Amino acid sequence: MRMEKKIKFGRWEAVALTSNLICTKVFLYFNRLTVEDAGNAGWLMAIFICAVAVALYSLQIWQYKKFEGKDILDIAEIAGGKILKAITGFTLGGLLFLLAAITIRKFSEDIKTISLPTSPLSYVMVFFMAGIVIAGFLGVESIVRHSAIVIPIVVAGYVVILLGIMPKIDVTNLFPIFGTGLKDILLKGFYRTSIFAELLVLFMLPPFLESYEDVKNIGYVSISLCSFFLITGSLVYILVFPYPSSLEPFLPVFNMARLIGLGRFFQRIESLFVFIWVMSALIYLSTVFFFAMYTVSKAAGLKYIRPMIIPFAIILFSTAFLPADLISVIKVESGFVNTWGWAVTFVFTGLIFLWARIVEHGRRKSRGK
Amino acid sequence: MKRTGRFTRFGCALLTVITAVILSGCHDMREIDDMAYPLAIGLDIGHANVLRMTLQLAAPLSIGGGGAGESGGGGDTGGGGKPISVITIDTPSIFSGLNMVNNIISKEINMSHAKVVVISRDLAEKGVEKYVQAMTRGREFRPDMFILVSNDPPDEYLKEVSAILESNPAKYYELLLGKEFSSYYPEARMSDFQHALERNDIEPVAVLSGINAKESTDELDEMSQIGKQYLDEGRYEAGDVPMISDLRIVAMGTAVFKNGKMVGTLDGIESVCFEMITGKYRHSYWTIPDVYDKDNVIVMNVVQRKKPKATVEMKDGRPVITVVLDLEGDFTSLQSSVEYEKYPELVENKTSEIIRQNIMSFLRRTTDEFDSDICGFGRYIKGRFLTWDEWEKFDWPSHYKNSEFNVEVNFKIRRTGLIIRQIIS
Repeated sequence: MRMEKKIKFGRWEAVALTSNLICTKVFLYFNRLTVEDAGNAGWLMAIFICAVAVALYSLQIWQYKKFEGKDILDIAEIAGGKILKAITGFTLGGLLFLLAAITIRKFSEDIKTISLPTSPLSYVMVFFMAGIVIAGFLGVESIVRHSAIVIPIVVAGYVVILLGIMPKIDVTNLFPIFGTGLKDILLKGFYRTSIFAELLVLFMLPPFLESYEDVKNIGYVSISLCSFFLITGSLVYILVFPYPSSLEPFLPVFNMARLIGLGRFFQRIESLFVFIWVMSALIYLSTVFFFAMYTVSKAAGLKYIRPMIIPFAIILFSTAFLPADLISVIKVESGFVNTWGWAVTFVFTGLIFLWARIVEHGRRKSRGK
Repeated sequence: MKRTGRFTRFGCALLTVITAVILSGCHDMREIDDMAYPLAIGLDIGHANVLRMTLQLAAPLSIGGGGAGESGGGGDTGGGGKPISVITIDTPSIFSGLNMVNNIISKEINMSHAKVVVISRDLAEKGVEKYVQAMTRGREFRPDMFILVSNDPPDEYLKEVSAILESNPAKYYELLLGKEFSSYYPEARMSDFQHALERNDIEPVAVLSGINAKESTDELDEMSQIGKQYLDEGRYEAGDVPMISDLRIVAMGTAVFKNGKMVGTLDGIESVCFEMITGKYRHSYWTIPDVYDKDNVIVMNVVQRKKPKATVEMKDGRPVITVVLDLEGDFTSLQSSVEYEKYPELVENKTSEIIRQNIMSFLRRTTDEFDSDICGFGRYIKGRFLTWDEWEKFDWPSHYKNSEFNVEVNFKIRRTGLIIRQIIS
């Protein structure tokens, strides 16, 4: 498979893909993370995170305007030649690879905790690995089209859970309104913008999209959708689980789903959660894994991706086992990826855009002379 | 091209075979028939070890047969044996106990169908927090399990459970403890109990239950008050209800907790007041003395029309708690010849006053006797604080015992049943 220059897909497919990359965290930990940072004001922090993400994205997309049709690696090449392209490719590819490793380990651990307690972790992980390897062979078009079909089902399932839990909400859980304080909401909220770290995939999509307007709109629509799900997810969680009990659940949405009981007939709705969660996880992992390979191979100037799939999968599988236990994975995720992810997604790429603009401006000027 | 197609076909075939082999029996494959499902778990203070745990196991063959009513006829009770089997064990902890039980029974214990946790009064008074935490962490324990405090040891209590009207004891628990038409005990679920344990704006409660030991009407005759004077039916607690029944388990009243330890009990009518204040009251019959004739009573079906409105203000360092209740009722029985249908205001005022007095008396017990905010009034004053630190410094539990209550009950008679006037000869 050559680099997929000729493949094009529509706005909806791209929106579904990027939204899933960010919203998967709602199933995993985002709700609890906001409560850990800001207490029962976690939902306010979620609003702040989304607002900052919109602001940072607006700045990025404004800078990107001059580079229609180019992805972040092409822009890095304009800014600093092949060296910067390689640095950018390996940095972004590395981040995506790290995200894939952490997420596959965490998803597998979660599955083991709630559904397959006696199965070995490697056995659980093999199924995810098989999924992402097959997705890698089928290519980006399959991943994108698959996500366009699956995401509406995931969203419907999630909405069912949110509606089902409504009888359990208690509005007084929102008070004291500022939770652990405004400082926590704003300061911790700023670096938790890292929740949107996967937005960098958006700047790898332009070769597959039609125009600058497409990229811009897909970004705004994705962020809006993600904001809706992140904020409602955090808000409903806080309304259902009073603080400090809300600090306890390992998988917030799963724990919420366990509380749903609509009469004697509709019970154990968490089985629906496992279904939508695994579908969402598989798309997330397939996407992140594919774009990690895509970025690295493009940075390295490789013509084909397919020969890299199996070696990358083996490295991913091994890397996922590096953390000693689940708590170590959570520490890496919370203390590193979700704290400094914003620096790569918004600052690093922002600086590349800025540098490329300056270089481009300089070239134009010299051509004009 | 041809080669690629062949590879794809071979790959698909290989994948199908591997998937079929792997998924047909994974590590976690467990046959339902290989499991033993406890329906209730009893916890008591142990003697051979720190905890006495009782499991009430379902016997699926007996349950599966179904009763005559449920199976649509037939009258066969399936396996013919008892639908439950009870095992008691002294153990250091809940999960160690499950380990030990697995040494006795042939099937693997699975707690995912447990409906009830029965805690002995002694253990409840000693403290239950560590056991509740263990069950919350356990994957198989459901957060919607009911939580009961029993006056009798759980090993005896669980042996006495006999679901005569249902063949399935799980359904018996669900119908008994989750029903909407009785308010003499609260709906106490494990998740609510656990959250209330961890919060400082509300304290937990559990259903009070016990064995009704009375076997003949002679024992009822020995009880005081018999036949002489009207006594409200809610003035009983589990175990002392004047009743003879094949169903020996009675749920009546509420166990009140503070800081994880049981500090007292509420009787049936106080439990009704608790339900009304917390907005969980649905409907039940209320009996009040006739306005003009002490020998007769008026019975109404009372419904909570709206959620109660509660406000909490601090005045001179004391919390002033105001509660407004909106209730409505239908006449169910009028024993005297007075045409109350024409003048319902008389009954409305009297009922409002009786309910108000009951609620005031109940609330005073929560402050003076229990010092436990089981109604969660702390939740209504939290909004006056901006941050969690400020709220914690305020220390609501230390203020609650000084609370002053204002209760307003708005009660309206809406309907008169199937007759609109009563002709008494």
